[in-house]
Amino acid sequence: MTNFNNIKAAEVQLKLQQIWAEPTTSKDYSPRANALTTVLENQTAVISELESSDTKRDVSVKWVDFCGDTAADGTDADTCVNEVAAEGAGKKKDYSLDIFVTDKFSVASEELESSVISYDEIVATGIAAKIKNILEKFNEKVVAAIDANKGNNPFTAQFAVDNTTNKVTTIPAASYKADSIIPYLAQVSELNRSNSTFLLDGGNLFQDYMKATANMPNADGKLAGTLYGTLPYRHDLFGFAANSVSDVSYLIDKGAMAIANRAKWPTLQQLSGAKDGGWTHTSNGNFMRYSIPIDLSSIPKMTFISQGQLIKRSLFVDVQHSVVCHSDGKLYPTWNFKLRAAVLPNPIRCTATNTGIIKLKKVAD
Amino acid sequence: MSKKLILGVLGTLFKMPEVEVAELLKKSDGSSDELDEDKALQLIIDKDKARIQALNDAAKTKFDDGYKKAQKESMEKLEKSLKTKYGIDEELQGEELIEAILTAKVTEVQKQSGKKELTEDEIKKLPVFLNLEKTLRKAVDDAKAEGEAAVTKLKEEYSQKETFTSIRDKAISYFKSKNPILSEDPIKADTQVNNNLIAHLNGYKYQDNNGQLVILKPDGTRLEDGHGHPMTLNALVDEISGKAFDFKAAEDRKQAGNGGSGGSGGSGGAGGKKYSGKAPTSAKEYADTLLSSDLSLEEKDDFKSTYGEQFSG
Repeated sequence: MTNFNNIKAAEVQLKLQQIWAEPTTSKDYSPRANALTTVLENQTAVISELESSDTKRDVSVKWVDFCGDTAADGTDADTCVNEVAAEGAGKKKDYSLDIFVTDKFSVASEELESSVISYDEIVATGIAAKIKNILEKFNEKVVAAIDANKGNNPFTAQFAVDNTTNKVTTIPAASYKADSIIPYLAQVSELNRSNSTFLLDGGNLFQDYMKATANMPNADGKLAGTLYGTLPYRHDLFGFAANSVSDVSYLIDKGAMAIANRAKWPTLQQLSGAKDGGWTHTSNGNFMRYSIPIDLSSIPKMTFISQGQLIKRSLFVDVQHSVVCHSDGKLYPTWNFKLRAAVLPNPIRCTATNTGIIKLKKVAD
Repeated sequence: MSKKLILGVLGTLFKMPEVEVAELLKKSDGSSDELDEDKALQLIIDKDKARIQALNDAAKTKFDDGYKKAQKESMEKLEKSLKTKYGIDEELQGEELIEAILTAKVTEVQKQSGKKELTEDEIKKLPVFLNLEKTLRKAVDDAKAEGEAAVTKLKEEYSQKETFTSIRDKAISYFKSKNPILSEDPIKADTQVNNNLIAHLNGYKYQDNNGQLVILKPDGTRLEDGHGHPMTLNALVDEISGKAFDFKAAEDRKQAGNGGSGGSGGSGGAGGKKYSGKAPTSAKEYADTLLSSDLSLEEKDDFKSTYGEQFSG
């Protein structure tokens, strides 16, 4: 039986990268996680305290707000009395990793030995399939976290705005296209005091964007493309569909959301040269625990969008491997995976209803 | 880039229906419906060359027009001034105008002096004739010199433009060999390069000294590196592009390259890059090389095929 150890894990890791790169296999085994990469592209905060592999930590962010509008009319005459003014309000936000996505697979050792497909290929394909599941599940949670942190739309004049129950702005289908919606969103951003925003879309504008891009070289018809040039457009058809919100888009402030990820166990580089090939012997049996990077540049790119640099090049997934003896008497090399992460909103400063995320929903005309 | 987008862009550039562009870009072995991206790239490059040639032709015509205009303007300015000063109404130019002024002036002098009509030889000896002729000849010479100075300036500007076209091509060729990360949209990519590289290169002057390029600052002094050596074009491109672009660590495509790091290209096979580093001496070195981010997948695959049997678990 092939022994799995840190050397074999490095060989399997190469095979895994080849599966992601090869078009025939990447179609089925590469994760689609556009919402995740969009948040990482627009993330400004680095929460390294939460991500340390050495120590599990929770983080409490504290700050003082001076949010009240206390400016007043004065006179030209000065006074020698310096009046006591209002103090700032102490605030605090606690952060911790609270998303743990797991998956696992086993292969009977007999199958590994008798198959015409190589050991590396079988194991790498299993890992690729599970990582795809994990990343897409996490991506689904990213979309859910964005929705959970939506705020009020301050511009209530043009379309129906519900700032009370569902916090959503409904826009008729006829207006859900660049020449109507982007100028409207510019006014929304201005009134929301946003400095830099982007649009994350579940598919409402997918075809409109493509047509606008294709029209750009034409002598006329540049309007839509030029408007899209003012508001970065990102889409995630899979992540939104997984949340059953494909008719929705979000106008998001840059830096409104952040992603943290922690690898608890050492990387294969750190295990290199380790005693017993990286295996740990316990009273519960023998385990090999390590973490593998998911290189986000190797997963499929967002269709017709060239994204900027991501704040993280990779996410890490912890892997626990052992050989389980089953009741059928067969040995089952087994791999368990766990992604430890968090999707964190920017701490709200002055206005509780201004989260930097505005939800838009397309409705029938 | 998507097939649709490539067909759309090339169809617009060549003013051809997309089906014809698709036929043109079919893989030569007919292996799939996918477009031959190398052919597409070559078509875009050819189209760009044609665009640059058209611009150069237009610039040459503009220069010839400017040359004639500079000469004509100087003479016209002088002739207008002389006609006003000596009261000549006729549409005369050059030598004819000078003759007319001299004749008018001598006639006027004769009338004032009341002397008999003089012969041509007697006229040419008169001090008033000699002084006037000298003044007029000098004015003509000055006008010619002014016109030639304007032409020289135009020639310099044209030469700079021609030199810069060649510099631009060399700079772009070198820049692209560095694997810059550009927008996949060719129009955006072109704008990125023009705004962040070409516009900065255009801020310098370029002199060709017997085949050796000298880069000059706007004040005419030589551009030098930190060691006082003349700055080369590649070094200048490195300096400018380093501030505005990120670069891929290695060639992504399957053609053999200069080695280097981590593209995410295909999975090896015929034509893939070979590992050319040192042989591992231990299992640790073998694993470290496999996990290294400095090698492409093709190189790692070749490395594993060569040394895997010796060190694999």
